[in-house]
Amino acid sequence: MLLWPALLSAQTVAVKLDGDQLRVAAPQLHFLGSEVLQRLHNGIAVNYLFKIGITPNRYSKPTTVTSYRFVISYDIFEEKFAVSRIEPNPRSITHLSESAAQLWCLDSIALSTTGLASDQSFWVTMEYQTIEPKPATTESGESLIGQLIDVFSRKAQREESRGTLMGGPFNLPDLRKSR
Amino acid sequence: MKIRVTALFCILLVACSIASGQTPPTIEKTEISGVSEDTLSVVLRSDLQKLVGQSYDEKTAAEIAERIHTELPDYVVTSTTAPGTQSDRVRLVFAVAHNINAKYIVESVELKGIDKSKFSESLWADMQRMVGHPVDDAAADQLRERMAAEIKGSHARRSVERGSDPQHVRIVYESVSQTSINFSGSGGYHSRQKFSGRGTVSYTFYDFVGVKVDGVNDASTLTERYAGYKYGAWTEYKRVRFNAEYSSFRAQWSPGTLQAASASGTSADLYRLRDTIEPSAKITIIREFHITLGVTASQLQMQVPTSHFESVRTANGNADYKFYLSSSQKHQLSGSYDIRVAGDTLGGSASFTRHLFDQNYEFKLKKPDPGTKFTPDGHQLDFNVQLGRITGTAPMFERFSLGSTSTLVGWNKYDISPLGASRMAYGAVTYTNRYFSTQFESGSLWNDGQSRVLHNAIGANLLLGNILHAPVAMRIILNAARPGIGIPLQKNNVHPIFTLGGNI
Repeated sequence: MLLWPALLSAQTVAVKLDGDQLRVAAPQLHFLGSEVLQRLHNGIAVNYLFKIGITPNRYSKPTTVTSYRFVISYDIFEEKFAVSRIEPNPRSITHLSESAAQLWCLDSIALSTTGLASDQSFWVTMEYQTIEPKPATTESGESLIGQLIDVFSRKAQREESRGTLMGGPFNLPDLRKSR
Repeated sequence: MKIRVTALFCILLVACSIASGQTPPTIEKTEISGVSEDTLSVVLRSDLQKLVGQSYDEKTAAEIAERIHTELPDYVVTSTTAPGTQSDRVRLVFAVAHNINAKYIVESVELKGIDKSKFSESLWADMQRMVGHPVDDAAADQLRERMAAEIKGSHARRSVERGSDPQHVRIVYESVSQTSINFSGSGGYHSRQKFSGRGTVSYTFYDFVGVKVDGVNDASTLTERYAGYKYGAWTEYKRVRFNAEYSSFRAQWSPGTLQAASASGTSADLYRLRDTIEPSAKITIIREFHITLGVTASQLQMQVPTSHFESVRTANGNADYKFYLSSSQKHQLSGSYDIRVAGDTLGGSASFTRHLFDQNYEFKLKKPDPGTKFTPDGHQLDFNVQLGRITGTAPMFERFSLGSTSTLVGWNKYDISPLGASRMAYGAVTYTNRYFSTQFESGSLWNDGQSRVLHNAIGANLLLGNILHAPVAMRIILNAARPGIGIPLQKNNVHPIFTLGGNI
């Protein structure tokens, strides 16, 4: 289901060429929702997974997908954000404002253009979601039905905040001109 | 005036010189929190050790933190100090974590909206062990999950709040109660007694009140097969839960029981309907120990010699406990003692006293990760002993019975004692691993003055879900079905019993 590009109401994503990398820009995107911010202000770190992909047209599945994992936290004394990029190329940064933390995540995200034909137009989809750490096994499900409910409700509990952005059509010559 | 000003100036000068001459604390120990020290290079580890015994210097600590960050770039690395064993000594802690708040020292661990008695002492002790150390998200979340598991029906939330001292925080665990509707069900099959099942719907309003409806058709628990409904309501205030239940069951007697009753001239003891009201109060002394007190008023519709009603009223007491014998939680002891007394004071037609002593010892040979009830893992041994005694004349539903899907599997209770008995002794040893469980059981039922006959059986159950490596949901269903066989240990007439499911 991830990166299924059929969400017509998705926000738009812009791209720019940086060498052979496509970098994304989404000025309207505020992926730190109110519920996530509440958790951050409570001193809890939040894991985000971003997946970015290229599709030949608006309605098809992405041909290449790259995943990025971030951990965002909020210093409850200094009231500043810290972001760790877990993968790829681990990096971290501290003392950021809320908007700077979101921008740092988006600036980190890039997609290789290798394999894209110059005359080929393409779309870019980006999907993000919060990921809850996998809970340890507990004896919480005493009854059979209780355990089954636990199993089926687990996914919904983990994915509290998610969204999809899509942009296009783009092609490499136009992007090179606008550099 | 001039002298006073000079004196004041001198005092200030001395104070300043003392302040400026104050020696910085000595580093007693260096620690890395959040990751294993082995993840750092040998050179860096060596340099960390060299800091021990030196005076604390903020700049040097920051440089080391930067070097750790260079080696572990995805982590936020900060240095902080914690008090040492003496007033002029500190522990220099490098917090390596994804959460920036890992650099703060836990000042206290607190609870909000929940009583400490609701969960185990060991969990509370583990929570308190975080005090004095940097915030460890993984450990704190693990404790939150344990708390949520122990406080059934509630979600647990964790937050980190500013402490009263600078650079110190409080970890707060909060139980978030909620309104919920739960559906549950269980069932079992015994090749001689056929199917038994129970379905339950319960509604809980903010952990304060709840109602429950059970639909039951049970041939396993008592001498009779009984079918009907049970309605219950409860309310809880601090350590006391008040519970009231009403049940209405229709009894069905097996041909074996009818024949035995006819032969012994006790057909008049067999009833057709059984309606019961049962108020009780369960008191939590500590989380691992409860006492329940209550009364039961049952009205039985008798069939012989003519249709009429008889009442049975009992005063009930129950004490149950469950605790671990070691901190590794490998050894668990649990059990209960139950007493029911019916007599003249309470009214009713019956007069008897019933004692039931049920003890269980559980030895988990593999920890951690014993799995759950329906997805067991590791190796586990269970020892169970039950002793029962009735003095006086108890109605059929209070009499003891063995030979079902959960006790003396391999025997049919109607072959052992079709009318139940007033004395009972039972023991079982069960071994469970990921793929099967096997047990040896021994038990006897007799009446006062009768000789005791010991019945032995061996049995096994398959955990098909694990054997077939089924997906999680299917694995739980297949493991719950646990097809099994019980073989009576006797010289003649050995007929195995086949079972599905288990206790209802």
